[in-house]
Amino acid sequence: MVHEWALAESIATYLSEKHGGRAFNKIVIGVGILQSIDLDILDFALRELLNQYNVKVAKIEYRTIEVELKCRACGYSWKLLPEELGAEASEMIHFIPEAIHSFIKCPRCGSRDYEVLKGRGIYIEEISYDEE
Amino acid sequence: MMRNEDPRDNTIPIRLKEISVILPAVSYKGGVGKTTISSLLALSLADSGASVGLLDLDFTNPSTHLVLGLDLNVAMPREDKGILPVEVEGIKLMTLAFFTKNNPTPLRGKELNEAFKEILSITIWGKLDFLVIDMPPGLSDITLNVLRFMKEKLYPLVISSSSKLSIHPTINLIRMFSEIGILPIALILNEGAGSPKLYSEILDAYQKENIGKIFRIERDDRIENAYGNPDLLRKTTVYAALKQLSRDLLATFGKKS
Repeated sequence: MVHEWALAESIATYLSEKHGGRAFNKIVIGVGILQSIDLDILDFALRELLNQYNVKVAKIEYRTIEVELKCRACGYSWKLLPEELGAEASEMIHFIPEAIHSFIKCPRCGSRDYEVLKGRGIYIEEISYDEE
Repeated sequence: MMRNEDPRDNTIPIRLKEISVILPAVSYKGGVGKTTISSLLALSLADSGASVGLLDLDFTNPSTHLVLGLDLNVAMPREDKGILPVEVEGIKLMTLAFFTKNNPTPLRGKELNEAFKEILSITIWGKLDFLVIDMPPGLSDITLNVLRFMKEKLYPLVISSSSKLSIHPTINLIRMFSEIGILPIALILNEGAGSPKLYSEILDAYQKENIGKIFRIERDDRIENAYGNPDLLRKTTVYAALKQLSRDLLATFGKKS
């Protein structure tokens, strides 16, 4: 099983430990496309783990987020599509998104000192449940 | 409704749950020998039969794989519900170098924090007697994260060079740990960095501070040629000194896994 399982486990343990015992109406998971997460695998792993942790979620939504970068050296902003990365860079960034600084430079000034403004990895964007 | 939560904060303690003792090699200054000492301590502990992990948190200059002779073109962590460290000489090694290869990787605080959380939340260590950590120098984001996430199991090894410039920063570092209730397991005074002639003077300065156990690592010019070759590393005085420290650690904590 690939490492999407570990990412799903983070979400499942978070819901179980921080909000234990609740039934959730909906969770929305932001998925930055930089990390090339396989959504089918993530969804499969998450549903399995939510069952294991006995966390009830009525609806899971995923929102994919484009990659936006901004150079700290020259101020240039640009968007990056995962297919623009080579195979090796794509694989390394899949595990650790910060590896992008090893492979990609600012297209305008060549600096590796830039910020990933959007689209880095996964996070919980929204959780909704009925207030007791 | 809640928004923008980072679920990794909850996973990191779970990933570290089966680790008994965490030994970060810390110093206020760079160039005192943390990488060599942490790598060889992991090696000597593994040689003693303990289950050992080595985590390289010096993200912008990871080098433990070079000490142990691991080829980044060949070594890559396997995936199994997370990522499994690469085994080398009986040590489970995890380093950002697996993912950045030999490319320059400048990271600011925000990125250091993200990389720390990512690597700690997906690495499956399993049961370990000891996790040795090669730390970046000083008290930056990584050190503060180690204190935040690992405090309960933390026994820092404070490394000092044999230089007058190391004395006050080292004492300050130990005081800072003491203020938050963490007692370093040992101070390692490395003659290989600085001047061996100053050893006695510096030792005196530390002994006045009542620091506790102090280990001496004598200068050994063979170390430079031994990097990358574990068999040669085992013949150095650095390894011999750390073998003694390993015996002490095993006597103190025992083997649990």
